[in-house]
Amino acid sequence: MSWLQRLFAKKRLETQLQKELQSHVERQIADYLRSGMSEADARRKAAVAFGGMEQIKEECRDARGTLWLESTVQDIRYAARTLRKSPGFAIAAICTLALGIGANTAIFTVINGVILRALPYHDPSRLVKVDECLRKSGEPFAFSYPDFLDCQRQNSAFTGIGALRQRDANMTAPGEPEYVLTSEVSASFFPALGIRPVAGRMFRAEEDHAGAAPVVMIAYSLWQQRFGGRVDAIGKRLVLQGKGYTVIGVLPAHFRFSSPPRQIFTLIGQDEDMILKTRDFHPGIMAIARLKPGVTWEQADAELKVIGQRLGSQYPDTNREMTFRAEPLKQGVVGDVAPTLFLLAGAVGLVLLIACANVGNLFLTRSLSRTREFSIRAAIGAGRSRLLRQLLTESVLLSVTGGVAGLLLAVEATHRALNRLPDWLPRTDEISLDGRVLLFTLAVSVLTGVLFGLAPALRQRLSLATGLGQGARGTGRGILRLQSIFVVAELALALVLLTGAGLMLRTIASLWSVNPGFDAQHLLVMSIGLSPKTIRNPALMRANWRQTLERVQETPGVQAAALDSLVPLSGDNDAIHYWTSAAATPPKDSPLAIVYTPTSDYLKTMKVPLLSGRFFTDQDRLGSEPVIVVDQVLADRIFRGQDPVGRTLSVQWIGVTHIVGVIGTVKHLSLDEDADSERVPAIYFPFFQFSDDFMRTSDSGMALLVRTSGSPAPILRAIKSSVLGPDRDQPVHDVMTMEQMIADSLARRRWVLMLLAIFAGVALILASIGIYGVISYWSTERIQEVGIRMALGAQRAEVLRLFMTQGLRMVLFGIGFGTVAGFALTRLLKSLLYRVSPADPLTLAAVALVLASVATGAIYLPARRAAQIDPMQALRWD
Amino acid sequence: MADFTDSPKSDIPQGTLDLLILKVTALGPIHGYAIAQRLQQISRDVLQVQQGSLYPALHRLENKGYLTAEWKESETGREAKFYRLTAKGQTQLEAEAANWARLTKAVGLVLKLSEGGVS
Repeated sequence: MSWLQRLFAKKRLETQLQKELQSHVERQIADYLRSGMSEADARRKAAVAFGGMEQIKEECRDARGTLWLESTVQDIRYAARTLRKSPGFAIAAICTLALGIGANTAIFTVINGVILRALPYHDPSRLVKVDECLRKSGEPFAFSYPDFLDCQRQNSAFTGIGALRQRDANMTAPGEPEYVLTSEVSASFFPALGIRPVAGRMFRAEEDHAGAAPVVMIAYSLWQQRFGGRVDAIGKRLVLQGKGYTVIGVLPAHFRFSSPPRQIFTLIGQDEDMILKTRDFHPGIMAIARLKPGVTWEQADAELKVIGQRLGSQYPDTNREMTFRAEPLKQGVVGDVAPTLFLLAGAVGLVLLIACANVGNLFLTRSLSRTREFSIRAAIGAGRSRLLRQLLTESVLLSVTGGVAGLLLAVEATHRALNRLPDWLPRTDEISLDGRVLLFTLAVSVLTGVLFGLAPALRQRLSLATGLGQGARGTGRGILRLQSIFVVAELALALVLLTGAGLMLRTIASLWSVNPGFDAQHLLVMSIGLSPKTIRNPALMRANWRQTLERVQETPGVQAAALDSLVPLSGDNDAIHYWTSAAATPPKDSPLAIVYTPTSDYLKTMKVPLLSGRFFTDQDRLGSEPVIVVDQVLADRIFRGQDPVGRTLSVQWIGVTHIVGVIGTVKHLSLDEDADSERVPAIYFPFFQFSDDFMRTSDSGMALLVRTSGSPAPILRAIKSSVLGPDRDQPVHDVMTMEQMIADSLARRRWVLMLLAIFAGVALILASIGIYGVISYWSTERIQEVGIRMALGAQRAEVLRLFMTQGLRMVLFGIGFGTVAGFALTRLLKSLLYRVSPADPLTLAAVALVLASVATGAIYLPARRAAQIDPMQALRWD
Repeated sequence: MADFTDSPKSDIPQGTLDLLILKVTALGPIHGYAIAQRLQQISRDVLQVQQGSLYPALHRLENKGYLTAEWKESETGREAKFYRLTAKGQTQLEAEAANWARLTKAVGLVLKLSEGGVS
């Protein structure tokens, strides 16, 4: 008989076992009777000689080899039955566990989607991201197009290397004019990723040149929206920026490369923009490549360094300080979010520990009242390990039920959180439930069950022998100790989380109070593009920009408006070299400045203070003497206290310029750029002084900054229609208030703050429930003692004090341990903190106070109840 | 009966019960009670088996395939479970018996040596 058959033949086997053992005893009795014993003596003697019938049966069942399974099924049934009998306990435990496991599942789902999952491309481990970068610091730059072409030609490590440059465009046909997210790619881009079209064909290498017939590939969603998903879309015309293209292919629906996903792809080689022709422009080109079999990314990186060296000596003016580097694409895509996510995972792990301690405590209390049950079970033949298993079955049953509830909770929570997720996190569209998440939840649930089930199980071992002698309600000093340890641990962990949340709160508060150098109130930021009719001709473009700006300035409710190529705190960055000599090209090691190209009302619009000289006027136009305005940082660094107004400065691509003014410093990349040594100086160049070549580069659009007299929302409509223009073909997009933009620049920290605050809140609630439960339990446990004390004349206040002291001692220990643990753990937050030290005494004191007051409340309630009990009733308790 | 003999009694050493059961069943199909009786008689009441503890061992040996069992009528006309040694059990018996012989011989030698009785 196989063990499976035996399992199903269980009933028959049981009867046979009973029959076999029974017949043994009967034969023995018969023998004894034959030897002349009395019936009673014979029966007694036979029973003694045989031994414990039930124990022997259990051993026989064990020998059968299926006991583990039978008894597990039996245990689960039994556990479910006992839990159903105490629904309050079961619900409390399941809810606590659902919170703990659910929160962990949610964070794991994010980590899984962002970090663990393979990228959604063919053989993704062979994909690398290639960057141009500074030779010395390794600081990454976008590629210059000629450098990209050289890397493509000279490398031997890649089967293909592709370039991508985001270049949003105005699409005027087919359908309504619309601003579309567009990318320029090299013909090699999709083959390198391993993407095949679902309709039509790929770009061909010979099309990737100026003068070739203009062709586009379109995203699946655009194919559905604009062409109804029909195959005859291939070969249709599409007008972008006033230029006609032929649709040649449709990308698969699942294809994503950047977020938000691009709709149209054109060929970068067909773009005749002058900034793609020179090596000293790095116009936002990023590159990906596929490694040849057997080549590692480190080898590719080394080869790129050689190419960088070669180009450096070939083109010293532009490439002396530049080189290239490769890194695994996943690393490049995921970037530096891993430490932040792991930090949150750690925090949420603490929440689970607290939940475990809480349920462990519930279990301990419950196990006490079941001491007699277990002693009886032990007496009638249940082995020690069998009892342990029974207890663990109960706890794992609870935790797995909690895990299922937690999973549902996590699915809902991640879904909601993702909808409002600020865009610091990459790959959010790849976050979803999968087998790995399910496995994680299952593993965490079982582990949790074992963890909190173990405490009462171990205690059980100690007290079996004495259990029979006790009443239904056991006492036991050991358990009080264990419960206090749990509660102290919970409080300590909650304090750690509170400290983390407190530090982040102070950080965000300090960042909000940072002066960005301009006035963010009533300030609108949007992107605008020119009518496709004007973008072929720089003179027309210049005129159109001026007219569009004037229309906005004349809109009622608009105080001031300006165009700019770059918006502070938007996350974008344009940098140029500057130097003090009159050399035509940047000397070796010349520093970099951020460059803005605003129009004349910029200061009025942004409310940046003018410190000396003047700002631009309408007289600073094409053909007039080149002028710049610099910020305080640049003035201090180069002119060291002397007034730079009237001095000259050489600026990359422009040449020698006159400094006409100095303005206040603004925060360019983030609010926390503080220390002078870290600050990047800024150069402002008048937009209307742009040469024709530069003016052409504004065809993809400019930022429009608008200061409104009141709330910006009501007049946005009017502004939009002013921009739209006479031909109604200049749509506005990406409208934001400056305050939103600043808030977004804090996205990562706000995310961490939000989650830490939620975790700390849950931790605080759980810990309070924990201490409340323990004090309640103690006060019922000692109710007779209370009755006696009161009968002997103790005042209610003394009784209250008795329990309060006990509770507060735990709180003090919790705060003590929590502070020590906090010192060690909040260090991990350091990179996210701003103007607050990880050991900030104010924060520590504040959170300790919060914890102490909430915990005191949780102690007071049961303590007061105990103190108010009628002494006579108390004496008769139990 | 057995209880009245004067000779000292020994508990069966761990693990040897299996060997003894295999040996007894090798003589022909036999039920549990008879095995217990036989063990006591053959060992001249020296070996003391708590009778019940025989059964887990029987079930274990059956489970391992050393014994097979069938229910048939016993000499008293009642149904009983008769155990019989299998070929696999026979091999196991020989191996364990040889092992036991080796072991006891070795232990005997050591004991003699410690009494200084080896020439």
